[in-house]
Amino acid sequence: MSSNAIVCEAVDFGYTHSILHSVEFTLRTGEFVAILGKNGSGKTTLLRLISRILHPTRGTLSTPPVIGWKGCDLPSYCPFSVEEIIHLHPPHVHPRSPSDIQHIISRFNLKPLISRALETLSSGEQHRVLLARLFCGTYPAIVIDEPLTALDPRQQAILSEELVRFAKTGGLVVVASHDVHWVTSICNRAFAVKNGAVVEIPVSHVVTPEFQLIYD
Amino acid sequence: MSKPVLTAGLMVALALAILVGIAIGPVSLRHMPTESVHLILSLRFARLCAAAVVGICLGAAGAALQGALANPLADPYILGVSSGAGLGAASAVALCPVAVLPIALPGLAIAGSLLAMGLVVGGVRIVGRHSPADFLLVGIAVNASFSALTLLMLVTAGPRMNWVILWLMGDFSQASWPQIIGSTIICGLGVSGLMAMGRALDAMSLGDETATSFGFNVARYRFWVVIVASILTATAVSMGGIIGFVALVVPHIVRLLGIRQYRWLVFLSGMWAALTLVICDIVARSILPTAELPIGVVTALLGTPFFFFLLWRRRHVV
Repeated sequence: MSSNAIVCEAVDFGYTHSILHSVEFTLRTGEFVAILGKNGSGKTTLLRLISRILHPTRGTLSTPPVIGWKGCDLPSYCPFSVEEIIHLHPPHVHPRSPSDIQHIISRFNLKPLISRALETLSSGEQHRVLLARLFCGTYPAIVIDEPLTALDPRQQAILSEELVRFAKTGGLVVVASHDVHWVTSICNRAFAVKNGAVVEIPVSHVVTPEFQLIYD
Repeated sequence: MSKPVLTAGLMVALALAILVGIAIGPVSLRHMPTESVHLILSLRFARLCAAAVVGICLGAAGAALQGALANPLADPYILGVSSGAGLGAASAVALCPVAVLPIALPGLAIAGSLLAMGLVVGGVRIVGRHSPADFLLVGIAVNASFSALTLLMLVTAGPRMNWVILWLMGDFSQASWPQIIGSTIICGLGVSGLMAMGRALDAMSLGDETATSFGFNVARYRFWVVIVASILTATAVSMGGIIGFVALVVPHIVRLLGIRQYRWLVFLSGMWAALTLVICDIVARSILPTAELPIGVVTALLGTPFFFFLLWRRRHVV
């Protein structure tokens, strides 16, 4: 049974000038949604809006009370160990069962890193830890900016499997990505951001030459 | 190391260090009249209490600022608070009559540090983003101009310059009981406030965006940590002068012992810094037979090699 998870109605956002305007969509639980668009088009801004990091200047946006967020930047100073980070969640988000957490630790191959400080890891390893954290708490939805960044092909495949599993078990996944082949192979909805407008497009169209025009 | 064990260990060590500090000093107490013995013991007890309170203020402020400004090099002095205090102290010496100096010096020092803090917070407001880099940059700018004004004051202070220089290097001998009690109250309130913001600081270590997605108002938390840490620093500076290095190094020592959650890091850094300053005070007044070393000199000289050792050990352990 799917239900509405994120409802965006006539949402505008801008700082000094408009970045996104008249954004309308409804995302449901169990969906795996991709946001596409060229650099600077407002993909990340849209992700920040639905994660309640930014607030619309106009319109209404209803979301779950808390969303698992993973941006594309690494923290500048994070003196915690891997184990501490995967247990770091907002108030009211509970850790998943110890066996689920063990499963995630082994899936993301974090066992050898578990007691190391985040700052001593390579950037790919740091991204892995921050991604694994999202699967260790009871988040109703997770939002990831550029999920494949810095991951090796094996880890990209594992992350993809875990994201699909998360959506299949009633979670909502929203990602921003430039990898159109990955998007067509894995997502079930896609939105393009261009000139401040957000338009839904059939997932199969994402790989067509015509779609590439959004990057012009 | 577990938190209760470390807490209990630090409490016991601090109590023992204070007892040792009361017993040790440059003057021999043998063959002295009882009243003199009492007087000397109570003077020693007062300065040891002052050292402990200053330590708690500096350690807790350093730990919280490193978290709030997302920078392992952040320390309370980088926000210009110490140079504000320095300017206040130098002005007192240059402008006030000698008779009121014992009150005017700490009073103007506090006023100077609050002025510096106000300039930093106001400057960040104008810059407008409340990012860690904004606080550090504005802090460095305020720090530089206040340090320059302090040097200017020192040049004009003439023969009374020594007094200021001594104070700028850290000194607990002038602490009075009313001041110690007042500082203890501010210290208790401030440290509790910082500990209450611990969960937000934990989240902020994952970056501002992630902390915001946790539901924390990052700009507001950062603002309050800076305010509370500055007040704690001003309290410490007004009682003990400028004591470098402790606020920067102690939180890293406590982290290497395995304490990383900010609520505990703030508290245990305070305790560890208190123990450090009490021991340094004992060393400062007993290592030379004829003179007392400034406490800031002792903390830096003992702290530097120890800190290098810790950094070297971290490379091999992690």
